[in-house]
Amino acid sequence: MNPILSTKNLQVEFSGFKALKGVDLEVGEREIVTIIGPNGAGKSTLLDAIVSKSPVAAGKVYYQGKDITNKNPYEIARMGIGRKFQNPNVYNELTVFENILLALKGTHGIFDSITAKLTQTKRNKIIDVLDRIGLLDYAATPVSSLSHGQKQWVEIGMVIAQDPAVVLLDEPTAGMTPEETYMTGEIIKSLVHNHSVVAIEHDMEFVKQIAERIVVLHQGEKLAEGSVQEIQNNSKVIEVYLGREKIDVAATT
Amino acid sequence: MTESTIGIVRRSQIPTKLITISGIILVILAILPLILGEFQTSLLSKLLLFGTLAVSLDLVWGYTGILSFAHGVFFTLGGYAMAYYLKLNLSAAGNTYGVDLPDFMVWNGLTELPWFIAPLKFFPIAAIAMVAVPAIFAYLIGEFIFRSKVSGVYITIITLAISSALTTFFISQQAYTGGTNGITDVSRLSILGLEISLNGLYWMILLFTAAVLAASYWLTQSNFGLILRSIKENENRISYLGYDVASFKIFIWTLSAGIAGIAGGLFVPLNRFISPVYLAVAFGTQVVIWVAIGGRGTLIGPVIAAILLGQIQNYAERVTQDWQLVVGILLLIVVVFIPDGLVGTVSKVFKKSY
Amino acid sequence: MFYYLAQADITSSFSIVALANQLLNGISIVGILLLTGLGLAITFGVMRIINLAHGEFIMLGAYVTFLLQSTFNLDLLLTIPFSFLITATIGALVEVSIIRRLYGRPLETLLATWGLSIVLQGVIKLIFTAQLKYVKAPAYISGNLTFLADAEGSPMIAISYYRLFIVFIALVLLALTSYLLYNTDLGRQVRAVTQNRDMAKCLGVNTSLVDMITFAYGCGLAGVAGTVISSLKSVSPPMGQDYLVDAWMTVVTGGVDKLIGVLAGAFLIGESNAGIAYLLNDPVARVIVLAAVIVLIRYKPEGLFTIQKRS
Repeated sequence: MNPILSTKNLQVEFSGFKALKGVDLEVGEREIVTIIGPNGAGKSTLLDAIVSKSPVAAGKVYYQGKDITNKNPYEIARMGIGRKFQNPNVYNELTVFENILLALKGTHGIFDSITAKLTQTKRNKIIDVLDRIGLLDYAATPVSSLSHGQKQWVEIGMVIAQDPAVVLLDEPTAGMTPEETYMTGEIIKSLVHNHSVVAIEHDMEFVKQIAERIVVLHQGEKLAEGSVQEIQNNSKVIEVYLGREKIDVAATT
Repeated sequence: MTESTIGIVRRSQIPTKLITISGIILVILAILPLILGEFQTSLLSKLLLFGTLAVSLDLVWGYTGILSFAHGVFFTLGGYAMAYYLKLNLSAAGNTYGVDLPDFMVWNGLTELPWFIAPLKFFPIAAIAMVAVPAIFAYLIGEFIFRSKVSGVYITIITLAISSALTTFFISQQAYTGGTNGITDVSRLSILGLEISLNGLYWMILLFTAAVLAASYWLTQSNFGLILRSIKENENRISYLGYDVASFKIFIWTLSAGIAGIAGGLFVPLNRFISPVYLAVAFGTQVVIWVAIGGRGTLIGPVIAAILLGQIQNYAERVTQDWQLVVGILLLIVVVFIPDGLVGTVSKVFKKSY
Repeated sequence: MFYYLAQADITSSFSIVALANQLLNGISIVGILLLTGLGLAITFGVMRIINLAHGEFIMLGAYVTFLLQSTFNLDLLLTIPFSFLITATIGALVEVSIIRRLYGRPLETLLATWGLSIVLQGVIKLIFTAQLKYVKAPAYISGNLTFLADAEGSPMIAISYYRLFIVFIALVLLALTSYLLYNTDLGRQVRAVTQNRDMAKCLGVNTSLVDMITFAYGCGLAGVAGTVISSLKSVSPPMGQDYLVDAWMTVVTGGVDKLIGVLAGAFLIGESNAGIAYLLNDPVARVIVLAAVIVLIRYKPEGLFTIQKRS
């Protein structure tokens, strides 16, 4: 299998502190990779390094065979990598509709944006996205008046509208009720029909709902990789991460 | 279609109501100089230009979130371009020394016209320079400061430094700029040999103001405007959606400097002189105050504020010498208590009771 | 901007003597920069408040001295506590009434303090008129420290005692402030509040009181600076404007991480400035320095000597 996105020996440093100590990650086409690991394991930093939010100190990021290490964030986004941030990073002063419109796949140039018209096709596309995230009735509502969970969906909607080949999701269910979490899981599973997904998660129930392949990070390094089953039985993982949830995990399998 | 999506459709419709109201106001303003005296017509012309200058700042500050104290600089650069043209086209009789050289150059010992000023004798070149000089200057600054991690207050402090540095520079280059006095006693503006009357100038300025407002409205209502507002709220997020934020900033920055430059160019035939006073931070602050008081992100607000404040200043200065104090107090009150400005607050109240 | 730069003798050719004079000149600028920058190192460096009215607090200090000297004929040194207290009180009022309301909105703070700067200038102009006022330096610190003598016996290298006194008082205030900030409970609270406001609040620190005291202290230092430099040149409402740019540059150059950075900043700018002004004329020096400010902010907004942090 030729991976669509991969990192080779990826390293990130913050004034001497090594947040990532050489991580290799491979993401195949139409695959969901779930990243788990304790706080400070470097999960968000890994996604940050891929989209150039944090500078890569050493190592490489490849997308569709091209080296995209430390490229401009907007160029990486245009090439087809979308990112959802940990806390809903949406435009509170704009309406839900405008947030999605902003993210809509297409040209991003200055003159295009001046002359662009809201065509029927575009409108239908946005309505389709709003429908998928269940916020059609909130189209004209400013995002500031939405609940935390709804804001998470707005951002997921933005990523869907962006229609990237690779979707990077940082804790998409943080602050959601169990019902909302389940619905989010279904949205993510539907994404995989035509996207590759990399998701960071804490909620083990949710991980089991969506996961195909799990990567475990620990102290800036890859500790283990495999199916849900393999990870649950991996002694190293149990030791550093699942330890306190061991019984809990065992009970649910 | 659900009810909420109707709101979406409305967004792209032609605003007939707005066009009608604007049309009526435009006609009233066009008739005004026939009623008003020469002094008021001249004052109103100046205030319309100040209002347009404020709109140009509103585009970068109110919409994009870049607070600039350098818009007076762009205005004045346009002004100098026009002032050189008008100075160099004084009739021989009008020129103190009856030669091609402006008086201040003679006083400072220049014997011939510097090569970089000479072309401004021709109207088309001067007209282009009026826009191009401030726009290119702004573009170069923009390329330098917006393609970096620096933003927010640091950009504002850079604009303060630019204004301060250029003021000192223009004052020190007496032979070329006329120093502290600037370029004075310029000729009246004539186009194709026809001298433009005060009313003619007023109408030109009114047309320019209307055009800038209309274009700004169209621009801010487009997707482009949406992107500017996003940059203002969170410039990092939007880059992960594939937008090159720096390019958008540089574009609106340069465009707004160009508008400011034209306003400055039209200001000189009215004012009959241009000087470093308009380069200084104090004037840049005035522009910021017009926008703050009128309402950031409301295009008409800055124009109204400029006209209102200008009229008040006109009367207040007959009573008190301390107009600056009034301006400072106003700025403090607006920033601390009414951050939405006049028009912003009124429209909010109107929306709530509606 | 650097009008307080003692006039260099341009006619003398480049020599060891001229160089020494220039270096001493630089030292006296360093003293002034340090003194005027120290208050800003507190309000901007420690609290991260963009205070564009800093120069006006310097100006207020100078006017306090002028007032006390012209009415009670008070010695300049004796006016220092008064100018500290008065400017600190005004600073406290400003913090409570304006700065506090705009917490977390730096652009609004910048605008409001700019408005305040105009208001303070206007009010002082209203009370004292725009006329230049003069303040006398104490007689016992007059005269020059001199080295070498030429053929006629007149000194070739000289620096006034008063300028040395400025350097001295600046260093004393720097030491005092460092002590307060790093070795006292109040200082620890100040640093706690600026590093993690919510946490400090949870630990029972009265954050709003700490904010007020810190800002007032920074303004008080500006007032002292105003008093000390008032006798160098005339006192006038717009005098603070020039000091604002310099003070701000000093703090930014030095970096906002450590208080000692302000000393590094003052030294770097003071000496390089004396050099530029010596080689070129004043307006050009000013333009060059402002251009340097722009370039500095563009590449190192947090200062030259600041550690890179995780965003």
